[in-house]
Amino acid sequence: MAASCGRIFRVLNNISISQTSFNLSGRIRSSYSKRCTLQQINRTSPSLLVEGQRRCMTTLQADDKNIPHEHPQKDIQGGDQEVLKLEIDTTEDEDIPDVLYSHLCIEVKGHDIAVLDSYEKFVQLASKCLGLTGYSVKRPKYDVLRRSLLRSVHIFKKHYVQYEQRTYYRVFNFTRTTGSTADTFLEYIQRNLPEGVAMKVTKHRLEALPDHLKPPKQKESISDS
Amino acid sequence: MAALMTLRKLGSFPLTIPYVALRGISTTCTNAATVNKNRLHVRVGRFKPSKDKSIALTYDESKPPYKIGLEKAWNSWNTSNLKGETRMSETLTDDVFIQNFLKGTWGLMQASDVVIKRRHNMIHIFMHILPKRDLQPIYFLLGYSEELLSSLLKCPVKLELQSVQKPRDLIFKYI
Repeated sequence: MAASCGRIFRVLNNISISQTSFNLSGRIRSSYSKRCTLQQINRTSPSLLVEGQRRCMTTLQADDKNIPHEHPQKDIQGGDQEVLKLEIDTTEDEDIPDVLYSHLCIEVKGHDIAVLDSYEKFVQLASKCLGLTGYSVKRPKYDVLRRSLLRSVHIFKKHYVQYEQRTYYRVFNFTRTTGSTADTFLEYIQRNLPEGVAMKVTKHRLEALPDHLKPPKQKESISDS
Repeated sequence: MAALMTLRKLGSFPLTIPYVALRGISTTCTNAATVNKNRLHVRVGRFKPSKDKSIALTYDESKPPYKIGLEKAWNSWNTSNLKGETRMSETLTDDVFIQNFLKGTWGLMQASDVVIKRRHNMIHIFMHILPKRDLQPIYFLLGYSEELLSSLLKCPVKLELQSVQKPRDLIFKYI
């Protein structure tokens, strides 16, 4: 009875270990993929993901050395190889090359300068957290629209009251970002845009020189000389 | 709300134009010498005090229009009045329509002014209500308002309600 119970326990233990390894690998994969959407400078390669999984598996194996393996089909070694062979879903990302922006310009305007000040702080913090470089902010002078109305209901043409509408501006500039970084950052910024604040985004994209404008290759002339 | 009700009782002619402050407008002079002059000859949004302090005012009603942006906020938040932005009149008309619609749908259950905030393509509407004992009609009116306003204004409309137990909770001042 006790022996059979022990066997069941070991079986369950092996199952649980393999399950946890699967979960860990799932988590590793998700964390890698998240990092890659933000900064796809180092593209996800299957070798990187597998390395992470292998590291986690080695730590698990160190704990399980005391448990004897009675059931060869529940072998952890086999489980390890199974985990490594799991499909890694990065082929879609690798096919499309990431876009590069030399310059990202975000113009923000609003009626209230205090709101724009706090939004400026928010944008600065967000850009620091996401690792964007080349942050600079400009504060152009506000634009005013003034209209004069008669102050009194009846007569007193000499006395007016003036009403105005002010538009304050902020301009944020970022240099040298990738497309996925810019997309993530802009989505975050725009989701948290306050009501009453308008935004205009200008992206300067880097393109390869077209074939008809590229200088002709001068290999033969170099080899001759 | 309270002040308008009492005006009707007194028999004076009530202005039925709903309270719509154009977003972003403020008086120019803010230096100390002329700041008092902002309040001169302003007849809108101000109530004559009664002898026995019987007129109840909410916080919004008690503050005059020249205090918008200082002690009081706008009822409508949008970008249409910024320089270079379009749809000024359409937004204003939509706001007036929303206010009328909600007044007709909710009626006496409406306890405060309607605050309309536009984010992206969505319209968020905020309102205080005086709930009755039965909550089912309130849920129905909420869904009805959202659905009809969404289909009429052609954009997602979210109505956010806050219930107030007694009308006295919203009263700020008696004049």
